[in-house]
Parts: sequence; structure tokens; C-alpha cells
Amino acid sequence: MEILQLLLSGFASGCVYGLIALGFVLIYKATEAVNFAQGDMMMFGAFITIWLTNSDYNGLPFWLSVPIMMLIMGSFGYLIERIFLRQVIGQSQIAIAILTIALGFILRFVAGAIWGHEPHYLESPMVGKNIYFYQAVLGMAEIFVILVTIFLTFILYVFFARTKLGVSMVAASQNQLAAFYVGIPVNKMQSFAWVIAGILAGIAGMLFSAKGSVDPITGLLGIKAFAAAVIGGFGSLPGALVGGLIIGLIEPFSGRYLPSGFSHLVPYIVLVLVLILRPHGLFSQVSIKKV
Amino acid sequence: MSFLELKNVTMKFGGVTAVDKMSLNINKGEIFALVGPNGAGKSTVFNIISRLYEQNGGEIFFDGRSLNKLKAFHISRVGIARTFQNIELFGNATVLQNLLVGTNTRKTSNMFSEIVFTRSVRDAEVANRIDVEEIMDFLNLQPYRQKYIMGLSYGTRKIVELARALVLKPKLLLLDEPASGLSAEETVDLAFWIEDIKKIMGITILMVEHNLNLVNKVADRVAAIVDGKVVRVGSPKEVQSDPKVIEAYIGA
Repeated sequence: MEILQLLLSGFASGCVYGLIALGFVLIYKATEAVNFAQGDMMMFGAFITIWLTNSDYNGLPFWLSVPIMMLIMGSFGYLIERIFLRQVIGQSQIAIAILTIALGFILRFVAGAIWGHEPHYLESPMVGKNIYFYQAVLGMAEIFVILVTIFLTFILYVFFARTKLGVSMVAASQNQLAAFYVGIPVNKMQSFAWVIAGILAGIAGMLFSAKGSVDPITGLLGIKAFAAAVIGGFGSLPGALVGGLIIGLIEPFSGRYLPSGFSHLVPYIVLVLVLILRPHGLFSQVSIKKV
Repeated sequence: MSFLELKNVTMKFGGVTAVDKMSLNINKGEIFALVGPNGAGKSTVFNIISRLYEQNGGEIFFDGRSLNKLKAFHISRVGIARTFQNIELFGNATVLQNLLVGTNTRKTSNMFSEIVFTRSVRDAEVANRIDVEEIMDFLNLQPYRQKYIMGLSYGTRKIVELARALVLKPKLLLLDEPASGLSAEETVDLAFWIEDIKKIMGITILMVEHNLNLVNKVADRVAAIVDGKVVRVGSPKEVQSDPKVIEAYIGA
């Protein structure tokens, strides 16, 4: 029964990693840039949810504050792209990496200045509720995280497979020139990738705060999500989710069965192993342009 | 007014004038070829017409409207399609998917009806699919329909790119070196297809081509371009026998 509990908590944190990794991959595919602030955007989403929901701030009902948070985070992603990223289009990858790293720092300081540095807890309807299944105690929050992620995965799948906007985004990510000449406004698609990445970061933050405490440096777990994206192949949306789940599952199991301290190390050992054995990631769509 | 008109178009890259006050008139229904030595500015002209570059001076009119204000993603909507010298396809997609993306621009449905796949969305998809199938039949692409672009030969990819341009139902088709990299056999097929595109589909074609056999076979008129300027416009024979053109090719 212990295994069931470990599995559940592993899946739940894996979902959060997976959603952040999804944001990484989405922006990477659409704009060929890595957004190192993705984890901090997650943290920001978590704080906004707390700020809207908790009784000592705005005290809105949880189910109302989530869509508002998504709206804020979507606009936030859009503005970041329009104000900052548009300026460095055509610059080297390093310029974009430094810009987004700096953005992450700013978000951390801004969050600290607004909400303080002590840990915050979300007053969600799931707090403290458990389901008893044989001898296992399963947290409602963790089940909620998993269900939301499954639902979101389904929505994203339908969006990218069925809708004109989704197909246009996939097309623009594969070949910008070709996309232009079938009539796709590539710049708009890039903005839109940031909008979706912002919303995803927000939802990941909301889920994270639903199952634990949040403080301004929470966003640093974006590094683990980055590892998840790399394991998944950094270019594959399902790969990002699976990579997240792998990292998420490794942590509680290595924490339980390996000497203490290993649980933080093992995800990176797996990352190194994947890079050695399958350098393009587990789900890579190898597409090296041959000239 | 001619179908496509370039009026004193100039394009400078830093201190280099790639296109120098160029004027050209292309008539509806003809196959017009641009020839000239490497670096003459042919591809630059193409990229200006298809709005990848914005010219420094001059104007372009297509079918009675100015193209100056348009962006690259608008031109498929006004009826211009193009192919690229180095082939730009969606590599991680099948031939069929590449062509269906071309029909994407026609969609007028909203996201909700797309998700629930309403009757009108389905009917539009069926109509688009029929168009795509016809073009695949025309260009003999049926054997490759479910193949991924990455696994196809260079020549086949080139034809897929031509097919995707046709799916857009253009009035003007821009072909950037359609025969480069093709085998002799493939070039012969291409010549027939280009003629049929003009005759059967009624599409005006502007092409850049180095293969003079192909140009002689299909082009109605040719413009020789040297150092960003038009040196001579005329029938393929006239242009190739012009002493100024010969001099530019052989070098002074």
C-alpha cells in the first residue's frame, strides 16, 4: 500500500513537472528559444491563485479564481513575448537564454516584494481531504492534480490535432517559411505559443500550490522540468509529459528506497543516462536538416 | 495594366544594390522566366514579390492591386503561391498532411465547431480533401501520400512543394529553380506539368531557372537579368542570342 501512495505522489508531482516541461517545449517548438523563466512563471501562477483565493487576500471562490488566474497568466505570457522577446528576434540563442534567465530573477524578486518570502498555502477545496483505499491514504489534492493534467492533455491534443489555430501552430513550428506561404501569420503563432505557455505555467502553479507550499524560489524546480523536457526529447509534447512523469516518479521512490539525499540527485542521473544512451531524448522526432 | 507589374523596384542590402530600378510586366496566362548569372538578383526579385523582403523603392502591382503593404502570409490569400530553391516543407508530416495544411487558409470555421466537428466543418474537410487528391493524381504523388517528407528523395520533395503551391489555388505561381537537383527524367516530367498548369489550370507562372532546356521548352517570354537590371526581354531564342546576355554569361 505504501507503493500506491508513492505512485500517487510521484504521478502528482510528475504532472506538475510535465506541465512546466510542456511550456518549455511549446515555446521552443514555436520560437526556437528556450524560456528559462518557465518555472518562475509557474511560481507566479501559484501566487496569483493564492492571491485571488485565500481569505486574507481576495477570498474569491476557488472555481472562479482559476479562470481569472488563467486569463492573467495568458495575458502575461503574451506581454512578455510582445515587450521583451520580439526585441531579440534574430539574435543568438544565448541572448534569448540570458533574457529569460533575467526574467526569472525579476519574477522571483517581484513575487518576493509583493507576497513576501515566507511559504504560502493555497486554501483550495481539496485541503486536508483524503480518500482511504484499503490501508492507503490518498490525498484529494494529488488526485485532483492528476485528473486536471489528464483533462488538459486531452484538450491540448484536440487543439493541436483538430483546430485551425492548433494545426497552424504545429505547421509554423516545423517550417516558418513554408507556413508563411500557406497563409499562416507566424508571428501571431509565436505570440500565441507564449499565451498557451503562460496559461500552462499558471495551471501548473495552481496545481503545485494545491498540494504544497509556495515561496518565491519555488520556480527553481523549473530545472527539474527542464530535465524532464530533455528526457522527453525537447520537441515532443507527449515526450515532455512522460519525461515529467518519469522525474516525478523517480523522486519519491528514490527518497524511500535509497540513502537520504539521493532523491534530489537521481533525476539528474537519469537525465545524464538518457543523454548518453539516447541523445535525442526518448521521444525525439529526429529531423536534422540535410543539405 | 499587366497581370504582375514591377515598377522601378530597388532593393539594397547595405551598400550592395541587388535589384536596381527594375521594371517588368508579366501578362496573364503566360509562362515568364527570369534567367541570369548567379547573384544577378533573380531570387531577390522573387522574395520581394512574395513579400519576404520589403523593397527600398518602387512598387509592385498584382491583378490591379498594390502588393507593397502586404506581409508574406497575406500573399496566398491574394492568389500567389511559391516554391523555394531549397524546398521548404513540413518535415515531420506526411505528404498528405503537407498538402492539407495548404487548404487550412480557406477555413472559415470557428474553433468550437472544429472541435465538435460539425457538419459544415466536415463538408469543408471533404471538399478540401477532394482538391488535394486531384492534385496528387495530377502530379503522380499517390504512391507517397502517407510517407513522411524526411524519407523522400529530393526530386519527390520538390514535386510535393509544387503540389502544395497548387493546393492554394493560386492565380500566379512563382517557381524558384524548379528543376535544380532533378534528374533528366524528372525534368522532362516537370516540363509537361508546368505546361499543363498553364493550359489546364490557367495559372500564370513566373520562374527562375538555370536549366535553359527547360526554359526553351516551356517559357513564353524570358527576361535576362544582370547585376540587378533587366538586360533583355523577349522570346527564349531572342534573349539567348542577344550579345549582351552572352557577354554577361561568359564574362568580359
